[in-house]
Amino acid sequence: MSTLAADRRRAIEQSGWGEDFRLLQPHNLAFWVYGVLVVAGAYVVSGQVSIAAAAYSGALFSGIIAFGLLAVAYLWFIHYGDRYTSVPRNLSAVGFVWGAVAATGAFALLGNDAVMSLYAKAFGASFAFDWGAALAAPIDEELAKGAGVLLLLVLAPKLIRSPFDGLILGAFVGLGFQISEDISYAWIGTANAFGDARATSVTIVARTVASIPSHWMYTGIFGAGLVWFIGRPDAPARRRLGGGLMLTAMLLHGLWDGSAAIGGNSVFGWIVPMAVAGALISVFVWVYDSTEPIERKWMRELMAPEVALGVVTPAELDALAGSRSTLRSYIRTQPNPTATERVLAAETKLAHQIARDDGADTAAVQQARNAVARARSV
Amino acid sequence: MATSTTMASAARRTGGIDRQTVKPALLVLALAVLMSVVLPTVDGKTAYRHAIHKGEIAELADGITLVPAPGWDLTTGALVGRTRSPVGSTAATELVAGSVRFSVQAAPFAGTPSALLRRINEINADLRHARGRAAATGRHYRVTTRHRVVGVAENFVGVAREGSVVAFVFRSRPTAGSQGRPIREGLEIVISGPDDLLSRRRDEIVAMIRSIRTAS
Repeated sequence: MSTLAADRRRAIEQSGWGEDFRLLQPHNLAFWVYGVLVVAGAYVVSGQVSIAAAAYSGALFSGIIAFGLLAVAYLWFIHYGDRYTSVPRNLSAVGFVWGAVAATGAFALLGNDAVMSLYAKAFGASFAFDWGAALAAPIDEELAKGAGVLLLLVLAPKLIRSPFDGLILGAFVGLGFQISEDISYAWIGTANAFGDARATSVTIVARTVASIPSHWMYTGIFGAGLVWFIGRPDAPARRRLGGGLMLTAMLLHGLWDGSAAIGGNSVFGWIVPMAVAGALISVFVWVYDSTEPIERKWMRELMAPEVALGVVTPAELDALAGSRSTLRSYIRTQPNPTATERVLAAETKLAHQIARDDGADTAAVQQARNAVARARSV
Repeated sequence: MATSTTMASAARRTGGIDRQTVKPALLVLALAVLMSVVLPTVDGKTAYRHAIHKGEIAELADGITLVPAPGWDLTTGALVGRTRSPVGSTAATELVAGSVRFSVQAAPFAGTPSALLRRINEINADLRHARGRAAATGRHYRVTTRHRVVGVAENFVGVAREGSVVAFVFRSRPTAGSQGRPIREGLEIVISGPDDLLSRRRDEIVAMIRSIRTAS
């Protein structure tokens, strides 16, 4: 076996690209726990939804539509960030459902209420008013969402191979939680305002504006930290870094929830949430930038034999396996950028097909190569 | 080859479950039980340790206060001068004394107290219909605070609890969001509990309602 072929083989094994995800795994206890907790969560959430549908149906449906559209935008964005689709769509959907249903209904709704009530009992209602949410939600909610990432790690060990996969999967889980929470806030706002529908509009605008530094980022950081903490066969455990990232997600979540109390009644109260948002975005970008290069390395190793075969040019491989700025600058400098994008898209599909067929020279791989040639000739 | 793989898989299983999946799955299940069963149970068995003292004042919403009866527990809400976070125009407060609950929901409301009570009744009727619960309500009557703000009240009788709903509309102080104009703040007060305990706490409940005022 040539060096290139050996590298390709290793990249396929290490990356888990081409592996299918199947939720139905009767021999895996994680499957049963996932199922039980999603059903339990759905039962609790449906109780809430039935109240909303009975008395605040307008607010409920406005929330579903507005935050449904927001969910679509974020799903696209996270998928865009997962450039080589290392987390398959059905796995990300399973993660989203965990966040939206199980993490809310089977963990956070009851847990948060109980912990905040215990704070009020132990330290007084005024303490709970200021700090209850900041000291309850980050622990309950990050553990609830992180539990989903852990279960999926057991359900898809061959697919979640790097902290980058943890980041992306965590972002999907966190987004599910975020959208579920957004919809509930939409009708609770109206309920608290004696059924005034204008409260829903205010909630929708406020939650949309604050949707960037939110759950999808916390859980993305937590997910990457969890994978680093546990370690994967080709990504050795880094417990301090992993544990530190999980704690950072909780800490930033707590600071965000406590920003009203930290900022107090001063006119500079808005500085605290802005600073927390800045820190959260910086950490998320740092984790992304630190974990993404391995995906590009795998792409390079996977596609290098195609350069030798003349299917892909060396410049195209550099663009495919380069950073996003390298890719953009390559496309921009080509005589026909649209045609170049088409060729690169066909080559990405070829990479997936090669991984799916375990590096073998199958008819499907040959068809994908032909598709690259056709894209080039158009 | 296929046979040896199957045998190896079977050797790793107990009761048809892969052994290496057991620990993490049970860890997640234990966490769910802790949050949704253990913590609510501990909360249910824990008593409040910070009863209201004489002279303490609760802030129902920005600029609207109530003097709670000493000995009651403030379960939700804020005491004047004890919080760092501002109390907004939409806020919830709850006081309890044994099985008697005194809860207040405050939010901007432009109409009259009667209109607010009508709105509350419509919402409650929808909720009762959805839950299949019935409650009978009595005639409306006037309630006046010590500062001569007039509200409207009605009594209700349910299966397990009875009590009163009182609606007020206060003129609160101007806020940054109201462009200097005073805002009209609706208050929904729900007092509920077993009949005998409500009777025993009647004077305290009336005093608390009469103490509600806007900050001067």
